[in-house]
Amino acid sequence: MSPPIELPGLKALVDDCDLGGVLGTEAELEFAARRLSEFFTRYGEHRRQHRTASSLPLLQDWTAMVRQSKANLHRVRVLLQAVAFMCSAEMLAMLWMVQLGASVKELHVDHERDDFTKVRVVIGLPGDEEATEAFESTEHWDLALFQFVTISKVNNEQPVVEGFFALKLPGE
Amino acid sequence: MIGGVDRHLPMPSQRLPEALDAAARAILRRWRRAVLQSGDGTVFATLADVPLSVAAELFIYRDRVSLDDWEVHGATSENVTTMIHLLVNGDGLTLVVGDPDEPVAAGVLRELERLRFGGELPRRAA
Repeated sequence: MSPPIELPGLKALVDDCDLGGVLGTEAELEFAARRLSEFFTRYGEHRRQHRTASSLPLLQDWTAMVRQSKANLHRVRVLLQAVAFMCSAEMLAMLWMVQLGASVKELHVDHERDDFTKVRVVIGLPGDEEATEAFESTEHWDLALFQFVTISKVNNEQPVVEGFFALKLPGE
Repeated sequence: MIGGVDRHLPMPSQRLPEALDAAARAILRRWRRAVLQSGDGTVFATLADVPLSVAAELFIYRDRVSLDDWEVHGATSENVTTMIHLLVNGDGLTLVVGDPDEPVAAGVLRELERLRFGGELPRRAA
């Protein structure tokens, strides 16, 4: 059973990531805790589709998140920024797999004002060049993901989505 | 003695873990069976396991065979292009490559020379 997310610990992590301005209140922290719990579940559901195919961890939980924050705080920072933008658990799971080494193979967006949004991302899993996993969402807030996308195009190579990087905050 | 060529990429210190992450990803995209080794000799099978926040340097080998060859023979004319050394220091990231014109090294260097975390955000999709 996954250990619970305790708000003081989450607040400490938020502060480490300099995100107290957007996830500082108790209500915001409670929202973040709920969304992270949903994200842990979605991560496990997607990961189980490729049980033996990838080097990605089988599970993510609060303990793993804290451990990753000590080793790679910049990755947790992107995740928490996406939580602050109210991205869905589905897209957080995708973003986190990319943080852990998966590559973005396809990225599709369909949006019509005041009507609908659909985001679909297909990633390639590390450790198996053939294994891919698709993530889909109709949550409008997932458009915020595109703020974190980093692309690269060098000379005549085709552009690639390199991954997701944290936004620079005022004062940095 | 086989030497390497250093390329220093200035970066703000607070973004160095991300720069190291980006550099490692750029290499891993080209070497799909790469093996990573930290400065203290610890070998990592995946980038997810590497503690980049505290890493001062990272060696990335093309594959396990290359790592074994480097550990036995050191740098030789045969293996010099099978490892890329990433070094973090206060003002940026340094890449040491065996031959900057070798296709993988050249591609990684071109990619990273365009990666800037300076006063602005990293490059983003519009």
